[in-house]
Amino acid sequence: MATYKGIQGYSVQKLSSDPTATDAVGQLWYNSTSGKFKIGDAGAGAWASAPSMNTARKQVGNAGADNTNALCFGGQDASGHHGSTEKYDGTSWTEVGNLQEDRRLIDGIGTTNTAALAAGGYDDPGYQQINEQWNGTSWTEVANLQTAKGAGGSAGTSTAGLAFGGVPGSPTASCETWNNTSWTAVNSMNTGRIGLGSAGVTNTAALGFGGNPNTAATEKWDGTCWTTVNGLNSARQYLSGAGTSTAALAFGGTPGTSALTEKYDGTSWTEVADLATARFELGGAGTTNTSALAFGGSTGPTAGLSATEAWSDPVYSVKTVTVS
Amino acid sequence: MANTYCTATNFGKGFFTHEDRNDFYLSGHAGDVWVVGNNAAGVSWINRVTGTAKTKADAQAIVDAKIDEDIVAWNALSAEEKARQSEPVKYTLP
Repeated sequence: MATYKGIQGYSVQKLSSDPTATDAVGQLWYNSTSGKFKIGDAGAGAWASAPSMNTARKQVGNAGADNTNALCFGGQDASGHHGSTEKYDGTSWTEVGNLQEDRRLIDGIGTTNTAALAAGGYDDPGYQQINEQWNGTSWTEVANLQTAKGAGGSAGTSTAGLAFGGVPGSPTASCETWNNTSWTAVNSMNTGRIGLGSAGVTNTAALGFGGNPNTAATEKWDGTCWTTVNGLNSARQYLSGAGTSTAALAFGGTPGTSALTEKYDGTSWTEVADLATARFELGGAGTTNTSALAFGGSTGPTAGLSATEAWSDPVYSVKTVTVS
Repeated sequence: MANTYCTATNFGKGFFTHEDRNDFYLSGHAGDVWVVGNNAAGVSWINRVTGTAKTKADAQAIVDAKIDEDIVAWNALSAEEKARQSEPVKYTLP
């Protein structure tokens, strides 16, 4: 009988246990314990369920690094405006220090769950200039925004942030930059909008996409001005985002209740795998378009969500080979 | 039949994995209704999460009832809130 080695010139490796899925990509082996042939695969990006938040809510503020590191603050639950903060460490959500001022529709800024900014937001009777800084333990009020705003886009870190678009009044195109001391008005977006998605890990490079009036329009910030670039494939608003100005992820949104996810490669948006639970007014975290977290949000006017989903791209897996 | 239907409570991590999402169609809807690709992996998932099988008509009725509640709630919203979200609309499960 011909052998594989006789035909191919080399043998299939024999292992007593499977390597990790990440290490196994592109490999074929025989698992001598299970008696099965296995391969390592890098499949398409997908969302998986992750631990739910302690408090279901929508219109939240957000910050974070990836699908194991996020911060959710403010928002609205069945009882009204919320000031609570929850921190995600990849294993669970933990309640930590509350905002000084309860509010929703906050422009959340930050690339880690230990340092963030909560700029503006809505609390009766209207939109606020309040700006709070998170040091990993507690929130402290720092210098106000130049103008009251909320439901806008944001980018950067707790010490070098950017807030753009949003309300009050008709959708605004205004943009402010934060230098850890004060906010300064800079060049506005080309198209005023509220409820837009955003991405960016510095205050000198950011992406704003979608928003109300319902649009697919995408604009890129280069530290000086906004330039219109290729739009989303599906116009929507109150979506969320992750990543940078050249590698971003857009997910969820409305009209209706959207599960759509799109990935930006610096030139164009491509539709990728949907969220399992469609939602809008959700939180999002992630400094890349390969690892992100979606949390909270709404499927309608009645309630907020606590459900969390984790994005990984690619999805590494070990598969058993069927042989005869 | 391309899809099958169940109700199941999302218990968080492990309820559905990245591999699950690449192995079968899955979408969650109001009322803990899940639309699941009708293949071996999808059927196995329903068993794993102890889902309760539903006919498409039953699943649709659960979702419709939740959307009816949402429509009543939407009508009670302020003008500012109505401007931010469209009126809920019934849709047909895939």
